[in-house]
Amino acid sequence: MSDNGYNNNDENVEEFSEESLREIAKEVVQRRIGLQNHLRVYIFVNILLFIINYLTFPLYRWHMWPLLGWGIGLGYHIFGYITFRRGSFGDDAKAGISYHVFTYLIVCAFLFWIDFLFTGTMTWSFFPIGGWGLALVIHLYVYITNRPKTGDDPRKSYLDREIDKELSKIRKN
Amino acid sequence: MFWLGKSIITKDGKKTGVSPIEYIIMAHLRSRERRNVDQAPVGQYGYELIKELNSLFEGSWVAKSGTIYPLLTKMDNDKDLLKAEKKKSPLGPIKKIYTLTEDGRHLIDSIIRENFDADKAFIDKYLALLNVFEPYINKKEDIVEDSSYLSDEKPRISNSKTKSKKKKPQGKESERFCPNCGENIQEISKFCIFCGAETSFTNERN
Repeated sequence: MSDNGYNNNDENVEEFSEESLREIAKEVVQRRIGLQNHLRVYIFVNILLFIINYLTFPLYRWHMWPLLGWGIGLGYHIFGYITFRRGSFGDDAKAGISYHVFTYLIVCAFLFWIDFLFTGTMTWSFFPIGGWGLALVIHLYVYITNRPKTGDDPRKSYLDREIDKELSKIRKN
Repeated sequence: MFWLGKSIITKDGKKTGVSPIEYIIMAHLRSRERRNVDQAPVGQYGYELIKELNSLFEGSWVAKSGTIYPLLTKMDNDKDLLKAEKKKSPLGPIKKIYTLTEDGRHLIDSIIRENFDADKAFIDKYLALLNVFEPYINKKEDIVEDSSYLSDEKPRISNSKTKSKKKKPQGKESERFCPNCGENIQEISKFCIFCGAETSFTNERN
């Protein structure tokens, strides 16, 4: 590129310049450091809680509650970082269904664990897991049937894409 | 002229519906396409677009992300001049790339073609105007240097709009007289504008 950036013709203009890539790399590194710090604090605090629990009242293991509750938050952080790093979500609908599935799995595992801890079997956790599971199946069905097909404009809503198809049919006739 | 007013107008006085900043964004994107090999359409990452606008206007205007991103969204959703696409960067993360639409391309080409001579002529005249000041600035002569005129904290030139909002006292209220010289001062001030004496207002002439 020339001094003022507007002189050269027939150069290979790219969507991402070296400077942009550096900025993106900076964002990736900042997110990774944030996640690493989160992980370190999580481990340190939970070890501390475990020691306090063990020294004060070892009969009731209350340190498991913050470990698991915070673990859900940490799980989201890891999931967010991985999907950002890989560039997994090109459209909002895909991000929506992915987060829904992830939330369902992590929360249901947590509920099942509580249920199993207190009753020794699966008693009440069946209801939220089953009910929410049904809603998740509906969400998956809507996502699969409404997602843009090859050649469709991914920025347009399902309704707009259907209107476009209808218009093109009318024009053909 | 492209940087004044709410909407760019052509030399015939036709309104284009494109604001000066939108025009600059479109002209910048179009120039990238013109410079590209085979003049192929090419978009730009929003961060870089802002950075290049700042480089273009260095010292005279700052393109803030809070100004540019809402404009880009408006130009994409409402005006259909740009197309914002989420694309995977070579490093992996997805970023938005802004590309001119066909309409946007035709519009910016038309405006530039229409106004090209007038804009160039204006810039030449403006440069000539500035050149008059150059010798004085270089010699530092005859130029009143007072940084308080450019102070952010307390500008010497106040905003005329806020000034005009102040209501002037009506009728007899507006008649205020200096206790020293007896002149009608009208406005509330600590000192008389005629004799400079400290005022303690009175509605009666001495």
